[in-house]
Amino acid sequence: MAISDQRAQELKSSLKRCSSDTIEAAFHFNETRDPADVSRIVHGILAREMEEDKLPILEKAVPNTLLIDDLGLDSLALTEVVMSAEDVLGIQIENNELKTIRTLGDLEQFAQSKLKP
Amino acid sequence: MLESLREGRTGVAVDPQLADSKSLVKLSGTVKGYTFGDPDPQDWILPPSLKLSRSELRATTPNTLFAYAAMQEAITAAQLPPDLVSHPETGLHCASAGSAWLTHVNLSVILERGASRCSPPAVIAGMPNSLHLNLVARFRLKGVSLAFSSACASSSHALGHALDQIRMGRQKIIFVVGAEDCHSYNILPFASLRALSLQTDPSLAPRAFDRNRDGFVITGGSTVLVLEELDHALARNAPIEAEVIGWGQASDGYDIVAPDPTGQGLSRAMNLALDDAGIVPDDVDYINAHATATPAGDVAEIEAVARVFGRTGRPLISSTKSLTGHGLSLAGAMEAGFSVLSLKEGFVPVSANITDLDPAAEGLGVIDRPVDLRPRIALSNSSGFGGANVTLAFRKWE
Repeated sequence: MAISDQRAQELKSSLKRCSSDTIEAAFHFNETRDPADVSRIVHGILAREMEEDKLPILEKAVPNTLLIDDLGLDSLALTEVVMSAEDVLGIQIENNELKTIRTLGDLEQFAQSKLKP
Repeated sequence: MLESLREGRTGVAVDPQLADSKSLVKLSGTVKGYTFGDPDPQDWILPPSLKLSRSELRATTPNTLFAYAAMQEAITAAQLPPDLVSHPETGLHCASAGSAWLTHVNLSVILERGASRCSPPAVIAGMPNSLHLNLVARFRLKGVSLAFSSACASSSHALGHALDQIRMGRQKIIFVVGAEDCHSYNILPFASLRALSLQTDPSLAPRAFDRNRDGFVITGGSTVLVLEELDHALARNAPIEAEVIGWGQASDGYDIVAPDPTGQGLSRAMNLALDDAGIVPDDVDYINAHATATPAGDVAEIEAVARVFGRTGRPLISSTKSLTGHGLSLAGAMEAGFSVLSLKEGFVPVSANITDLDPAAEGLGVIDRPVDLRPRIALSNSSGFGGANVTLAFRKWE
């Protein structure tokens, strides 16, 4: 189902400065709820929040890649990532759930699990 | 900046952000080289010399960015190596009113879209001590770190208490930082209070000590002073600009906003500073006055100075706010810097824009044109709403 103009604006606002690929994935996800889009969206949001010199690490990242130690995110960056992911994926991550997210795989799997009805 | 101060060139101008405002206030001491359009720090246009990472930009405010730039300059000027900047005996005393603009923006998002939709760093950017949070992290500071809040006396309190910390042996070096946004959201509430000049010509405002003064003009930016224990500075061959030799503080106990017209609070602060410095009134060559150009404030300071020094034409007195505008909680640090420059460079800044000296100042040494004097001892006064008064005393380093 096509998304409304308002939703399209919200997505563009949440993904400001993300790549066009990320925005395309977000539009596709919002139209189809296709879980295959989640990884592209999460990667795109992470790339926006990370320091530029760490971006090559994200390109080679594996599920065990650590968000803080490997990708260099700090506490405020992580909260930004979570807020944007919640916005785009239409999910809610509770405070106690945040503590369990340490790796890229944790973040992607967690987002996927939240999509289930 | 030194040349502007020496030659009496104003930094006040019509502020583009006020040009279309409903308020009649149009002037500010504009901060050049920065453009803050929308509230997203990634979109701000900054001087090329100010390079910040994404994480450093995330929770910043305009005043924090000004302070980053001033800190970098101060560290270079004081020849401080990285291991002395990030050291358990190197601390930070900060003063800022925070960013009313970003607080407003973030609260609006929370009220309109819900707390979960507001950028998480908003809480940091909106805190009055966002300045010290940001500076401690960016410069990896390890000693004392705290924020002072006493309205327009804030950064003078920050410097005075830094002197105490060093005298007590608790720190060797303290960065004293004042910083303000100079955003219309910081400026306009003072217009509600009818404290600001409505002039549009910078040669007419602010005009401290003039009979027709009509309020102050606000400025922002940042000043960073490096206060260092003398033997520590000598041992590392540090470039010493001047000595801080004492300070005093006293409150009016009078009104929430208005100064005590008898000037008793400020005169006690000056006397305490003289005692603390071990000097007498005759030793003082120059007073950098608080004088913001409000009718009530300037006359209270005139009375305070007359109480301490009499009406003998000495010491020389000027308000550098007539050139810069009033930096609010930044003012004390900025004017401490001007006092130090005056001692080091051997000149007395003029009190600009005076065409008709207030008769109340008769017999005082208010100077409206350059004089040939190389001051050796200077005082710098600061007073804030609530009747907080601070006087700092400086001596030329010889």
